[in-house]
This record gives sequence, structure tokens and C-alpha cells, in this order.
Amino acid sequence: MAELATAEELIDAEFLNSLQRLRLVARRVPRGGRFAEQRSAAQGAGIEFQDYRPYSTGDDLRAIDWNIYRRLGRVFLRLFEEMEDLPVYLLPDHSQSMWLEQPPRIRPCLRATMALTAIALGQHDRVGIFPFSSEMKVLVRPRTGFATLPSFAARLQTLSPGGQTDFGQSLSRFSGLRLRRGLAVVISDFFDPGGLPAVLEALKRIPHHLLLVQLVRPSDSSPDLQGDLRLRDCETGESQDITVDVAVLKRYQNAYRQFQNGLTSFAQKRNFGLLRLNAEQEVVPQLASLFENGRLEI
Amino acid sequence: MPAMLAGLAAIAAVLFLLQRLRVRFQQVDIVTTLFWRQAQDENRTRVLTQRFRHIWVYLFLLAISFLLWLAAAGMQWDRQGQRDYLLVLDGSMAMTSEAAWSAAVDQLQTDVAALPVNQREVWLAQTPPLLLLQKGEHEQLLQARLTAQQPKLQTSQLSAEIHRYARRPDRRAQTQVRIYGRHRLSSEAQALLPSGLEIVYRNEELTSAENRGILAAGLQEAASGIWDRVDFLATVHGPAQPWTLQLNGQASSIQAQPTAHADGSSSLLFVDLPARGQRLDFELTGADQLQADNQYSILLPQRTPIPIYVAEELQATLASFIQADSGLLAAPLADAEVIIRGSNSAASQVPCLTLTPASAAFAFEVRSANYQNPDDLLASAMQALAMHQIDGLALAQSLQREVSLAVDTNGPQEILMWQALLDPEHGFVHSKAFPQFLARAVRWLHGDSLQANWPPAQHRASQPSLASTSRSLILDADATLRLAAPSSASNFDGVASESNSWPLWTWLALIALALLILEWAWFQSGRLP
Repeated sequence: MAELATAEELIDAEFLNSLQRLRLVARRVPRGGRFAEQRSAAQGAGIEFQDYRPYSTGDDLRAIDWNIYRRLGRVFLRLFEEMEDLPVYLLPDHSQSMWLEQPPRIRPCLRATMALTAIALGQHDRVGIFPFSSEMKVLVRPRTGFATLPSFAARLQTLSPGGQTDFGQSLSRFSGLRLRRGLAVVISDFFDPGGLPAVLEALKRIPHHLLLVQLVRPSDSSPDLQGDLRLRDCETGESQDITVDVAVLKRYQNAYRQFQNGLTSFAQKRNFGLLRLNAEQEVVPQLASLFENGRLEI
Repeated sequence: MPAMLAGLAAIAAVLFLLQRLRVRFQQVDIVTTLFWRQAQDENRTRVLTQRFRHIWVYLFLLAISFLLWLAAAGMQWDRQGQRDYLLVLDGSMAMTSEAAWSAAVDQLQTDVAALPVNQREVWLAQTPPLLLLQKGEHEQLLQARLTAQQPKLQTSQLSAEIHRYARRPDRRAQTQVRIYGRHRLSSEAQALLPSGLEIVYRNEELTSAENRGILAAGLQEAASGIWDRVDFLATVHGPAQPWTLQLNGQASSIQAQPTAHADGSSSLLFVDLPARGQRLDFELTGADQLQADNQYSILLPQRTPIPIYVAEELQATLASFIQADSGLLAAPLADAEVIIRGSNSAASQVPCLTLTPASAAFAFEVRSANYQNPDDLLASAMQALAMHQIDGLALAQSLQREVSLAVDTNGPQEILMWQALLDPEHGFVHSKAFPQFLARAVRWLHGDSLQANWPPAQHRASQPSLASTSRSLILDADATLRLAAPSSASNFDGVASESNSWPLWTWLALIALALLILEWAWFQSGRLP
């Protein structure tokens, strides 16, 4: 089993510098948050003028547009767009499959988690971490402040190999947390024993906007296997006797392609983000390539 | 035992090779088997509810399995497994030679040991036929039962035995009949057999032996016409010489008249043997494979002259006829057994030929109490008295009256005839029919009978024939002829070659092995899922 990266490896200076120019931009965050940099649906004392509405009892007198009153003799309020924070919920997968192979997927998973955490905290958004495997747990409750970043790294370092991936169980519990609507980022290989249908069914139940970060590696689509093999699933322990030849390999690739296409189609239909990170390469450059002009609008 | 151990070693070697060739999986831990499960076709065939796949592979494996199963079950060729074997030992006179009997018995025991116990049945062809070994009985029983059996001096019952078997309702359609002995079925007898019966001769060496034997022999009336003499005729297969002839155990000096025939046989005719009731022993001498057909014995008939009394008034007319017939002897009235008398003579208890006056109603009248039906008596009299030889028309014209025959079933044995018929002017006594009539009439009255064609015409039989013999005995001519027949190609060759060929299960196993190798090659090349 692979060892987890140290906290220093997760948030070294170079890593943080490379993230500074990246921003997560939400089209509009739901109201109810604290003041921050994301445009929200709330109208109030912001900077950007948004609309007028007739005055009603109890409204703040400071918001009355007196120029209109002088011209028209009627009282209207000027409404401004509220700038609030974006709740970002990071769900890293720490199931058994993330710890297998060299290098293990858990490292880019945590690097991506830390990167997104740093980006979100850097723009004053609220970040919570909910790792999952066979079930979900709350590792870091949503909080703000870039200064808390080391504590995120420290908490992530405590993660240990979980059990069998169970998207249905884990995400169902996450959906029941009554969190403010925000951005849920699922960082995983999405290999659930129940197959793609179980994954998609679980994702549909999440009441947040979704960003799916899939950790892949070239051997997923082109496994370097040949001959008579007893393939053992590292999570379920089930063995599969198989003779890998050209025909079998071709059928495997077809099955994997269908899985990937199904995930892509799901994200496109629901307007969710889908990032595929090569687990064998550095995470930040791959993330940066996905942020157009340093912005990833979700 | 060595074969069994070799088979076990071969099986162990094959299993060892198969074990070596078994698929050995290398275990690899992977993140998920999700896609491999979908990729592996075998997983899908194990689901009953899905579409049946790889039908050709299934049929291929089915063929291999069936072949192995049939081979393991010891399947045999239909010719061996589904037919019976009827083994028939000839117990006739043709097997009286000790060497022939031993050879046939030895061959029989060898075959019985080699044939399936539940498919063979052994019979001894004699009268009556004897079942030597039933189906399922151990072969050792045959040896014990054969010790009490010997060939008999009787004709061969082989053909009858085989045809009796052919009619049995419980026999199998396919049966091989193996014959042990010298006898061979005639082509006519074989043609009558059902098509499922295959005849195989297992002692061809016996049938090829040289043999000389009596095919037929018998007595006939002496061609010379002498009443107390007979001729003896014998037909011999092979050369006629040498031979011996004995009468009552004494060598006879009578010479034979040999005749050779185109078919290789020959005839020996002994003429004018005295018919005194002696025992005649005729034997072919010289080296021979079969002695039983070399001897023939018969009792000659007892022919003594009949004492006859002729009345004084008739002596002048009839004495010369009586003297000319060697079967008749003139005797005083008291010693006579037949009387020829006139109509005025006193009644007598002795059978009489009575000459009646012209006033009698019928020219001839035959009386006998031995017949109930007059028609039977009339038919008997016509033949016994050779009445057909009498020229009745000439007599009637000469006598100026009808000449007729009457019968009477009442009264003593008697023949009545007109005395006028003896008058020379009517010509009856000078005709060739009269001596016949007189001789036959006397013998009929005496209780003897003569053949219709007696006496034989002189020089009639230039080629003596057994068809004309009065008593002929046909020996087992088949045995004599077939024993001497040249050996023909045995149809057992096919059976022998069959037994040498590999059994069916071996072929099945070999085919299964070939298919297994083919399957392995296909599997290795990826052409077999």
C-alpha cells in the first residue's frame, strides 16, 4: 500500500505559487452566504447596480433613488448585487483502489483537493472536505480563510485507506447534511463495483452543482496485461480468471470506453464540470490547462 | 496383466501431460474487475437466461465428450456385438475317423474359448441333436460333455440342424454358423437359409482329404431272367478297384463288370448271384480317409422252387413250361403247394389253377378271399398275371366268343381259365405271353409276386443303373462326395481379419484424442473462445 504524502509535500511554496493565478468563478451563488467575491442571487448593498423596485415599508431609506423621486414623484429603491462566498465541498475518494498501483491515485487526488482548497480559500470561499469510500465522513467542516490552509493539509494527511467504493451510500449521506448549496467536487476514479449506473444514480442525488474530477492513468484504457491471469479486485477481493488475448483486450477497451462516455454524457447533460487528471503526471499543470485564462467558470 | 499395467501407465502419462498443460493463472491485483467481467465472454455463457453462444464450440466439445464416453463404455463393432455364433459339430459317419474327430473337437474348443460367452451356442449334429453348450455356460462344460460323445454311423444332420436353428423365433437376425467337420452344405441347402446366416467351415483341411466310397448299392432281378439269381450293382466314387465280395463270410469268385463314368465315379455289376438268403459283404479296400463308406452289406433274397402238381391230362401241354421255369419244381400231389388241374378234379385246399370247360361264363376268373373290394382284386390280378401281355383280340377271334376276366372275392385262392385256351389252334400256348402268364399265375397262387417287368430282357442293361434295382440303399453320399471335393477359399478369412483389427473403442479414443489436440491448437491460437 502506498504511503500518503506529507503535509509539506501537499502545500509547498511552488505549489501555492502556481495556484495563485487560478480562480473558480461561479456564475451565481445562492444567497445566504457571507460577503465574498462571488456574484450571488442576493440583492442588497453591493457595488454592482442590478435593478429598481418600488419602496415598501421597512426598506432602508438609504437605498431610495432620490433623483427618480424628483423626476417622477415616486419612491423607488436601487438594488445592488450582493457578492457572497461560494461553498466548495470537496469529496476525495480514499477507497482501496486509490492506494493501489505506483504511483497511487491518492496522491494526485489529495494534490487536487489541496489545489482546489487553496484556490477557493484564496478567493474567500468556504471549503469543506468530505472524504468517502464505503461511507462518507466529515474531515473538515466548511470554513474560510486562507490561513487555515495548513490545517486542511494536516487533516488530509490523516487519511488512511478506506474500504470498498460505495458511491450510493457515501453520497447519500453527504446529500443529507443540509449544507448550503454550493459546488461539490468529487475527486475519484469512479470505479464503483456497481458500475456506472450506481455512480450516476448517486451523483444525481447531490443537491449541489457538481465538478467531477476523474483520476485516470493510461493503463486504464490500455492495460499491460497478457496471458492467463487471475485478476483480483483490490476492493471486493473477487477473483476473475481470464486469458487476455487481443480479442479480450478489445472487449475490455470497449467496456472502458463506454464507461467514460457514459460519465461524460452525464456531465454534459447536467452542465456539470468534468476534469480528467492523469494520475501519473503533475496535477497543477493539468488543472491550469483546464482553467481558461486562469478562470474556471462553473 | 501386462496389457492392463501398460494401459494404466498410459493413462497416468496422459493425465500427467494434461496436468502439465493445465492453465496456470498468474494472480494480479487490479483496481477493479468491472471491465474485465464485461470483456470475458465465458461469464456470459454461464448465465442461463442469456442467448446461447458459441454453438459450434459447444458441438465440438460435445463430440469429444461423446467419443470419450463411447470409448469408455467399450463400444464394439456391430458385427461382433449384435450377432450370435452357432457352432455345430458334425457327429455323422463322416467323422468316424479319429483324427478328423479330434481335429474338429480341438478347433471347436479353441473357438468357444475365443467367442463371447453370451453369444455362442454349441450343438452336436446327430439324431437326435444334442445341445453341448448353452449361451452363458462356461467352456469347461463343453470339454466334459464331449468326452461322452462319439460320431455315429448315420447320415449327416448338419443341414437339418442349421435349418432347425434358422426357424427358431428367438434367434438373432445376424448369426454366424461355424461348422466343425468334413460335411459341407449343398448349394441348394445354403440357398434356403435366411440371409442373416453366415456359414463358415472351420475344418477345411478335413474336407480336402482323398476319399473313395460307395455312393449307392443294391440288388435287382437277374438280367439273365433266372428266377433264383439276382444281380448286385454298386456305384463307387473314385476308381472301382480294388474290392472284395463275400457271401456268408466266404470270398466269392464272382467277377464284376466295371464301368467308368464321366463324373469320376464307376459302377460294379455282379450278375447271377444265387439268391439263397446269404449275407453279401462288399468292401472297397485300400488306404482311405473315411472307412465308413467303404462297406456295404445286404441279405440276398431266399428263392426256392415252388412245388407244383400238374394233372395227368395236362402234362403233355404244360410239362415243358414247368421244366423251363427254374422257380418251379414238379412234385407229387401230396407235396404240391400249387396245383394245375382240370375241371373234374376233386376239391382241394391247395391253391389251384383250374382249367374249366367252354361252358364257363368267363375266359379267366380270379378268386381270392384276401380282397374285400373286387376292384382291388381286379387291379391286382391284371398286374400280377400280366394280363396286358395277352392278345385278347386274337383269342376272341379264334374262339369266336368274348374273352373276359372276372373276379370273385369269395372262395379259396384260385384261378380259373378255359381249357380250350390251351388248344394249339388258338395259339395262346405258343404266344410269348403264355409262359409269363403261367409263371405269374403259379407265383400269385403261391403268394409270391413278381415285378411287372420280370423277367428282364436279355442284354437289356448295357449301362446298369441303380434306378432299376429292386433294393438299393443310398449311403451318406454327401459325406463321400464332399469329403473328396477340393478345398475352396474359406469365407472365414473375413472373420479372421476382423478379429485382428482394432476394436471400435480404440478408434473412438483415437478420434477423441485427435480432436483434443485440435482443440488445444485452436485454443492456443485464440480461435477457440
